[in-house]
Amino acid sequence: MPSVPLPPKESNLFKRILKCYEQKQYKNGLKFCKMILSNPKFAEHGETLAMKGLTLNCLGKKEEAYEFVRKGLRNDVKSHVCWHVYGLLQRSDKKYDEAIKCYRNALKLDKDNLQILRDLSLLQIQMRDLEGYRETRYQLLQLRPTQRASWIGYAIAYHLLKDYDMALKLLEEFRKTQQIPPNKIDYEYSELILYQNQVMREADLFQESLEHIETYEKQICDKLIVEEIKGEMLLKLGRLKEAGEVFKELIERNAENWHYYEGLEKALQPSTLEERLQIYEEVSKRHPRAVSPRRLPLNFVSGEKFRELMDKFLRVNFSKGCPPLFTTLKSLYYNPEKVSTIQELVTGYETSLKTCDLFSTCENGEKEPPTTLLWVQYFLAQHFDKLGQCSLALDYINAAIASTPTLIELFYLKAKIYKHVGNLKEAAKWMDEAQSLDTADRFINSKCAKYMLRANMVKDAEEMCSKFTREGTSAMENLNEMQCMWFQTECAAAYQRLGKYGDALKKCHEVERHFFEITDDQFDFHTYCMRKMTLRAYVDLLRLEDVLRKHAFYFKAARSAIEIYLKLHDNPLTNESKEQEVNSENLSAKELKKILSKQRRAQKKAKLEEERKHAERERQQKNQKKKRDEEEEETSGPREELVPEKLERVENPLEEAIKFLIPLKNLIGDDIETHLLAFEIYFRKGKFLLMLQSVKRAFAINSNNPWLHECLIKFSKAVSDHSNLPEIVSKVLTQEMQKIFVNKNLESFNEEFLKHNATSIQHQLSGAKMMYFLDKSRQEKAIAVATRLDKNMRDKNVKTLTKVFEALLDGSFGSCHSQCEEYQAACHKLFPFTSAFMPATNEDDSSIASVNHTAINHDLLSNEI
Amino acid sequence: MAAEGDVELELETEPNGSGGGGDGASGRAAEKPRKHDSGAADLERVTDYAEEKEIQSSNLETAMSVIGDRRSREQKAKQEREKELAKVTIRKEDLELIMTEMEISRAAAERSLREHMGNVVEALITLTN
Repeated sequence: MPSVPLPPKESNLFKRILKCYEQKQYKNGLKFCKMILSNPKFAEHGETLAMKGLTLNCLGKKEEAYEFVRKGLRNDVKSHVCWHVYGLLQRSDKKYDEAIKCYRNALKLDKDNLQILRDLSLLQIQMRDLEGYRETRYQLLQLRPTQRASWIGYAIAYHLLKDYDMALKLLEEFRKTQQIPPNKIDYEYSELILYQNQVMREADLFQESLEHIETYEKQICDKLIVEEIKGEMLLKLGRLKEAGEVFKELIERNAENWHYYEGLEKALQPSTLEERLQIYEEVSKRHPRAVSPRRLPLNFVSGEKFRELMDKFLRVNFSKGCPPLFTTLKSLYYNPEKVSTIQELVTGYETSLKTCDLFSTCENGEKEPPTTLLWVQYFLAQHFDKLGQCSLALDYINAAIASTPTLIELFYLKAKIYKHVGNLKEAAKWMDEAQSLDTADRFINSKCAKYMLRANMVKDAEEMCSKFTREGTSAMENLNEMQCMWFQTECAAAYQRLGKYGDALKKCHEVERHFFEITDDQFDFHTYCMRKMTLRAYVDLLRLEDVLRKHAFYFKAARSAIEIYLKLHDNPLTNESKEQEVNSENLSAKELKKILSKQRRAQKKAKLEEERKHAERERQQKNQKKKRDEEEEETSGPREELVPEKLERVENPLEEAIKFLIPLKNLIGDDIETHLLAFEIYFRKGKFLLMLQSVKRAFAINSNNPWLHECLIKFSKAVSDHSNLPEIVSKVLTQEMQKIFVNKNLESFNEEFLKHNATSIQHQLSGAKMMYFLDKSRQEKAIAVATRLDKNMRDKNVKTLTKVFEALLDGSFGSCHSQCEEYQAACHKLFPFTSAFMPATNEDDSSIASVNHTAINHDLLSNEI
Repeated sequence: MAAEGDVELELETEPNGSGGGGDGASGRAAEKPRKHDSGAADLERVTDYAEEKEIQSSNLETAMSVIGDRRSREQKAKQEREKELAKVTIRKEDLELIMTEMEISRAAAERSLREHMGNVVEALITLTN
């Protein structure tokens, strides 16, 4: 009970305060608060003070809000209202654990308070405390069995806990209470039925689900899903004929949905290839313009039939002029036979079209327009690019450009080819050309920005994006506000390659914050969806949020962050540290002095630039803050500003790395990189059992992975070097490592690995690195192994060869200047277009910047000055 | 007292992030008229106050009793499992070793140890899987 009960007049005012808060009429609410508090008898009334604080919080005055609420709580510690309000405040600042504590305190004082129970349940589902959520919803159901939300909430709790029986019982009871006449269509009732059906399907109750959907068919708004469910359930129940009818109808409705064809095949169960083809031909007859019935057979036919169908398919699409033709056929390129058939056909078209405007020289017919040749050449460029034959690809695309210099797709492809070949500057240049042909096209603009980022041209990329971002703020800030994560992850990688770790980390943290916000945003929908009965969408949302950080953007940001923190652990930046370490041994005193003073000048300039930017930022922020204060908005919880210099000098980089790692371990455990990154972190922390966990998990995914091999050797050596581990730890290690190493010594383990993977450059590289690591005297042999370029090596491509080259440069094989040059020359012969292998010594060449990228386990940076 | 009358306290939140129109032009500038952002109004209404709908039914008692039975069975099963685990003796040093080496919480470490009947080596082997 509150310490001072309010007399009727004030009590009414208090009730009005609460109403104002609900209706979001905050100024009125504050007025009423003032009326109560101005009366000296009630100036210290706890609950009113608390409400005042809460209202202020909604107006964005956070500090005052906390003051008032705390004061109110102090004055009236036994009031559940005060505790409840404090909980609401904590929640608005996303301090969910604290908020739960406050609610529980409030409930101690008023066990059956509906509102507090509701708020508690919201937090529990937000934090996914499903058991707690179920308990709270049970209490709510007992207190208010007549409210819809009580039943729905309780049912959802059981559904999420996978207790389908209970969930269905509750839903059925609830459905019975909804008295909707059978000929009326009510959207909320329709959604309820569909949700109920979904639970049945998840519980594998196929018969029940089918009967259910047939009973309530007429009252469901989403007619399409009804048919799809019927089709699926009929298949599951083995009633294939009926299923076939349903899928045929669905295809009539939409002939481009590949799932329907899958379903139809499952229903009709064609026993021969001809029967299978027949299905598609029939559809194609009824829908002559549909692409899918002509594309799908290409997946399962081969030989002559494949040639015949492919010929038809290609001709139609070349005549029509279909730019994404290659993209639709790309998935067939795993099959070398099909690839050569396609190559034969299309190169044939090209020669023929050039001479007589026909697809084939031995035919008569209407001549093809000149654009057909264009699309054929465009296709061939993509084809040879995919096969790694870059100069041929460039020939074709240049021929196409010569005939049609204004087509954006051509320049886009040319840029792509240069990217694949490893010349990122050229690629960016051609992408710029492409976007200049249509500056109102945001897609090509974004692509251009991305290519610039890949070429480490961060400022240019930002300028490019600014053509489409909001005026008045910097492009970087606006892109952050719009949660434009593709840009931020690419930008982080670019900064990383440039060695600007602070800036890169800032971008990684920004991406992480987006994920936090997206998780947080689901809060309001817990009440909303249950009220609107959009339960299928709601459960989908919950399930999405559960695995949110599985998304590639998070993985990219986390990987960059972890790699950087590992580098910062290995080579921490001091206050005077320079970005490029000077190899002072080889220089005379005079040269050294010159270089140092040059660096000092550059630093000063950079600092001035930073200060100017900072001042500009502050000015902008002040303006924005003023605007924000004038409006009645709630600002989200105070977020510390991300300062690059602070981020790159953090006290404990390994701990920061682990923060990024944990969601990867939980959600992306099937990607071997997660575990290998984890190993690198735990290796530096000296946590042997966690190292063991990482290699065990990685080993289970792919025991032959090259990076894993390096980790295993380092791990084994570290274990044997540390003789003073606790007994239990040693016991576990010995037992488990036995399964991986099987009593071999490290040298033979490495030799076996090299022998087993004799035709893979990637594996030879790892084995060679380890050869040198285990015995530095074998440097010559190790380098020879790594730089093998014989004919039978399977993966002689730009990516792999660049990796080897980088390893030679970054010290993994010690100092080997002449071998580097030899290798570079040899690679240049194979890939003349790749920048990394070009002998010219350009300042902004990728070869120097790329040293910072990927190579984690090097000990020294050796720069060629 | 605030609880009377079933007054609901809902907290208002502004729609986060890009509630406005497609490109960056729809800003927070107080003077400019906001165009093409009908989505923002809808997002605001998400947190509006609304009365909970009621259901008319006379068969609630049967439904409630079904639920009641189930719950007591659930509770019992849970308690039994907890009792089994509580019987296992574990050593403090083992617990702390697990916590340090595997960087997991006390609760998780304890559970793992109990599930392996106090055998720390077995527990660690499972944890490193």
